[in-house]
Amino acid sequence: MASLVIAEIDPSSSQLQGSSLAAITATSQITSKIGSQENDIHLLIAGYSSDSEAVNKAKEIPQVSKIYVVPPNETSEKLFKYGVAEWLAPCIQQLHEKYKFSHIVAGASTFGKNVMPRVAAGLQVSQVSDVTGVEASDVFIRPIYAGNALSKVKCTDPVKVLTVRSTAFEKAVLKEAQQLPVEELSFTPDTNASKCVSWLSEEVSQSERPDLTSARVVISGGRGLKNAENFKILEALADKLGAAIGASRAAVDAGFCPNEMQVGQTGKAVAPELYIAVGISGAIQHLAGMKDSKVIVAINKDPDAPIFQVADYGLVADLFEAVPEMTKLLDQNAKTAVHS
Amino acid sequence: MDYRVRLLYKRFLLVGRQYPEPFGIVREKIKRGFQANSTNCDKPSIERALEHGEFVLKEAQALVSLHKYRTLNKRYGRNSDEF
Repeated sequence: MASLVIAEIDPSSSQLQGSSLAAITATSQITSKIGSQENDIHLLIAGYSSDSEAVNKAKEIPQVSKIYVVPPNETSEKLFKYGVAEWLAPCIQQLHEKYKFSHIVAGASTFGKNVMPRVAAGLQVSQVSDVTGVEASDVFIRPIYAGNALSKVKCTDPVKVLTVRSTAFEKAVLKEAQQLPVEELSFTPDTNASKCVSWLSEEVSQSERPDLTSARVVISGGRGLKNAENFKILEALADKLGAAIGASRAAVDAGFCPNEMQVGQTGKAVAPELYIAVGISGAIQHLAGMKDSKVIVAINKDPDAPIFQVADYGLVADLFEAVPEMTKLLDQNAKTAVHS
Repeated sequence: MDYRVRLLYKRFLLVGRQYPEPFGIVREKIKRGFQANSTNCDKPSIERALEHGEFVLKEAQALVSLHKYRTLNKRYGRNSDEF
């Protein structure tokens, strides 16, 4: 039996996302453990026609042996390209009914976390989320308790539905394009859910700052900032350092900043080189989201705050004085660097 | 004194030994926390304080394991020489 990887394509650049390339590496580790002849990796690219750039790019992945495409029409194009689960999940299900895959894999990105649970529910199997290691074709390692422990799970379902952490697997390296069979599928929505959704519009929040999950420097603010206006002092510092801005759950719940900035167990997990926590006391759910940062710096008024126990450098100071001062010093340093 | 309060205090002392800070400082903090609630006499406020204490204890336990995780990661983890 073959394994199916669900490709996530960046709609703006038609490139395969890193999470999908990591999913392919994970799948090739799985298939190498099956050991039988029929352990091909197939790739599903929904919303693109067979001669599109995305499909041509996918042919450069050496592990893939077959590609399925769902050519777009007017209604389905955006729904597939942006991974709307109500459409993509039944489509994957129909494909599975036809070919009976052993594994269905996607990266544990927003895309995979959105689509795969619906696929698993539709197939009446349980999903194995956030896989970080492969022991055997049905035994996987995944973090539990907010990453404090690793559990080894054996999946007894006939088809294994997985999402894999892209940080735990190397990205598949692209080689020369190969001749691959490309099969075009047609999909007609048959569930009520897919009939109920339609594409309205997209709004991208334009920001000059690097992406939170991949930034080398992250500055996070918490409830200590007191209101949304005060996030501006972080922005000034972030501009100087080329940093992304995050926030703790307390700050998001209080409405200081949008939900997409949340770092922590329920938000994004970040692992930058430098993490600066400003006005964050360090609830364990927040710490779980940033524990893999290389250097943690904490600025807080309360010397008893738990964040100081995990921080490499701690500064007990009022953030409304410390942060502007840091910004000023960086400014001066930049000036002297230019003069010398 | 409610026996659960005493029990909670003892559990705090156990966890406190593993806390990243020196035990002397931690014990003072624990003591202060318990003394701040020493005037609570009615049942609901005792229950509330116990529940809060349980929460703080769990946070402290998680912090201990997180500190251990980071320490081990620094010594033996991937790219450990870069730290």
